[in-house]
Amino acid sequence: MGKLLFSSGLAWMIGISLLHAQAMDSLDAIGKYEPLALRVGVSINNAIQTLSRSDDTQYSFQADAVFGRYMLAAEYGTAEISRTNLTQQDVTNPYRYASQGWFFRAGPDVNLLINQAKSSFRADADIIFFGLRFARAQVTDAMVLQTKDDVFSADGNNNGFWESQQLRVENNGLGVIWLEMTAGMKVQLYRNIFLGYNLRFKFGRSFSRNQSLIPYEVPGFGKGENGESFGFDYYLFYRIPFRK
Amino acid sequence: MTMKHNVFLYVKNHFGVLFALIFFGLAACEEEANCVTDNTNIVTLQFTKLLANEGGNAEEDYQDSVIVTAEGTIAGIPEGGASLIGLPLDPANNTTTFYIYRQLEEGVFTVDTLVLRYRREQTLISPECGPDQRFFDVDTVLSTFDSIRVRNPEVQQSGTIANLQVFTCRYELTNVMQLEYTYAANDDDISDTLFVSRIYSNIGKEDILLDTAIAEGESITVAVPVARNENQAQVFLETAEATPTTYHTRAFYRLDAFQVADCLPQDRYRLDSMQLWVNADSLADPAPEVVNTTFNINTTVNGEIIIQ
Repeated sequence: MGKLLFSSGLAWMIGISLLHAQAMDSLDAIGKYEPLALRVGVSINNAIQTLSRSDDTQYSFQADAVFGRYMLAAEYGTAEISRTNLTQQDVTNPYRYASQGWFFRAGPDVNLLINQAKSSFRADADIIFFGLRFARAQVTDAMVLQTKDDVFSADGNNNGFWESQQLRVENNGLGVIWLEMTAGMKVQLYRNIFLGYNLRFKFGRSFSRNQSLIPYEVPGFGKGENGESFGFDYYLFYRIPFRK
Repeated sequence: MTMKHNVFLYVKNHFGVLFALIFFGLAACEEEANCVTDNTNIVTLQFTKLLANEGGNAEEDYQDSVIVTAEGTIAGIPEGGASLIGLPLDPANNTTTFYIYRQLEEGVFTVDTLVLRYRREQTLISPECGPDQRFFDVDTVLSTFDSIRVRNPEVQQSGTIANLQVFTCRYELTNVMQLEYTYAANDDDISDTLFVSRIYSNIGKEDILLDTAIAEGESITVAVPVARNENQAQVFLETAEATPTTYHTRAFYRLDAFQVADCLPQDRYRLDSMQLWVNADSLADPAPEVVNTTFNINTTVNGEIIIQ
């Protein structure tokens, strides 16, 4: 799975690089990097998930300052989830898991839609972009689980003698960092309203300390047990122009 | 006007992509989880015997009866006879103290204490599959076994290498050399017998063998003790009413120390060469042959001597 994600990211980067190379002449000709506007957006899929799942509350916001062809993006989000199988009947391995946390990521984007940029830097045009992110998250979570009763081994091997015990394991403010390659587009719907998405390849996940419980969900990253992750976010943006 | 028209077309063209990706993206959110886990809390321990042949071959040491208990439990595991046993780690703590009872002989047990330290990691595989716990970085904190080493610190069901290896330090080295005398067959049709009145050596005062006979083509084996402060043993075979009257064998050996892991070092004797003298000044032909160098209780013959 990791290799597939990596090769997808690599293919994406190669494609982007080719586009980039073709556009170099136009870029050099323009060469303006002035803060023109700020776009602020909210994640649509997080909002849908929050509305559709009663045990999930996730929000994430993104803002990007437009400096001509380049943009500086920053994202912030929170997540609170809970999972359990105690509501089911005849459960062999009962558990209860809950987590809450936040994430922050920032990095540059480059607009690859050169023809649009060439004709106008007013930051009101559509863009296709590629960017890099440094991301950090903090998660506090806890899981209560019941270990298996091994005193009477059902398979007759007599290979266990521990009675079932209840365990509570938790992380208190566990820090997580990772890097991202991201690409996507932002399309103007009406005047200052934009719709856009980010495809993300997240890699280099690292925890700030040795922990016993691996977070099921790291806000902004995904499953904590994976070292790499692939993500997709839809955003609705509002553009705040700085100059006409 | 042309510009606006182009933008309109552009947005129109990309709406299809945008909305297609909405459904694609949302569909990709749910990931199928595999509920099968390779994790277990059973640490495997293998008993290993030291044979010390040619540099320390080791083989499994079968225990007639093993019982495992642990601190904090009321149950025990009667493992029965085994050379590989399973030790279930306490799933709620990072150390477990085991008491391992082994039967040395009928009615006689020895008990060893083994304290293992390890790390645990819990994950929620998926909401449907539930939680899982991994045990790893197994290490020994305390052990009363003669010698123990961690071979595989990862505890997994599919692990082919035992996690722990206990050397029982049952060396099988000896200071006794096994010599085989063969009475070679003649070309004639008569079946001869060589009568031996005595076999003795220069080490030790007692005779090794008295009044025996070797049929033509047959062999006898004698056990010859060697001395720590010597480097050769001289073995004399005296015949009864035969010529020559004495076969004089010189066996040259050397002594070194053999040690595995934390076990105590042991004396290891090894046979280098042999000579057979039929008279005081003539060597026999064929010369004796060294077939096994190390003196081990499992070795049946160290040197072969052919008497014509």
